Amino acid sequence: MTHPPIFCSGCSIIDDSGIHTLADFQPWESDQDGPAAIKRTQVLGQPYIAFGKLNLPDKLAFSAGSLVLRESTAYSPESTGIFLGIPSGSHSTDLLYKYSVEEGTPSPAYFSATLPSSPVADIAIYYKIKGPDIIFPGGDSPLLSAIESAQFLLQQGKLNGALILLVEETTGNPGGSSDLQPFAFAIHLQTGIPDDTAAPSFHYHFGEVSPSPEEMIHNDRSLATTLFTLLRKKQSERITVPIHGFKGYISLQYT
Amino acid sequence: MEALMQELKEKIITSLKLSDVTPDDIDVNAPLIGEGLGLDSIDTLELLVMLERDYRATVPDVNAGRKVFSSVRSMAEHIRAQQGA
Repeated sequence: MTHPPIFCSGCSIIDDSGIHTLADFQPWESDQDGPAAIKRTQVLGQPYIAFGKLNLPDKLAFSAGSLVLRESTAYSPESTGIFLGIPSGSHSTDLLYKYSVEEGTPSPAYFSATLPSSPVADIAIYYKIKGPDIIFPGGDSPLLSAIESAQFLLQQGKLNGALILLVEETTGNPGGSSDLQPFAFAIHLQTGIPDDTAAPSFHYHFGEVSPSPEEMIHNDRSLATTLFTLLRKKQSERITVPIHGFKGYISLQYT
Repeated sequence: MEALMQELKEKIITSLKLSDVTPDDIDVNAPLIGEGLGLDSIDTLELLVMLERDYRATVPDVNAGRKVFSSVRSMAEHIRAQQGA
């Protein structure tokens, strides 16, 4: 069976340096406390009343996704799915809810967001995305799992587009990497040829030999940053990644 | 009453963390839920918590809630009624 080619039509990163898209970079303002203080005006042109009430994981996912969908003008909401890797799940929101209970006024808004799937809800509603939402709240590499799942559904013709997200938000997470700044990554894959005909093809596939630990990217944040950097440079490359203990690759090919 | 409605508008924005909205944007007679401000059921629960916490005002049931949260003016009237009771 011949699979349709998959193209990458947008990518964004929100990290401790600022907001990155393939076409632009906005550093944080001097009085802005990094990703946790991201503003609606930095990611969305139109007013959006609900932006301020999004919890941080939701806000990061919405922002990274919005930046990508803004670049991917050809996406069709009816046949687009959302694939979210979120290693800490809803832990930070769980804690906020717990604190509100301990203070005597349990917050309904926090409670309703105590689900790992919460970050995709506002994207799906705002952009009227009707495809499946698939969440990977843990495991060795939630981002790779999200990519693998998205590619499978795209190759099967079940979807025309996939918005893949990684959200790492460990603020207040006991035993977690609380020293890490929040981080979000989004990439849009599609089977149709994008408006930008220079967009690279994207393929995630098994390799033929055993893995060599030192050459593989094990960290989701590193993988996201590597992918983004290659896309920004418009550089064809084959990135070595683990696939269920075997060696795999993500190939970006510019023609 | 006017001062209370102004205070409620500010508290709605603060407690719901609404973006791109100022107190002047909120019509005290406009519906809060669905139309108007476009609040949802979770927002309503959050406002219920705010009323209980900040004004010791309770809403006995769903039917009363529909009336109380129909506008900023009706919220203010409900608070005044409970404080005067």
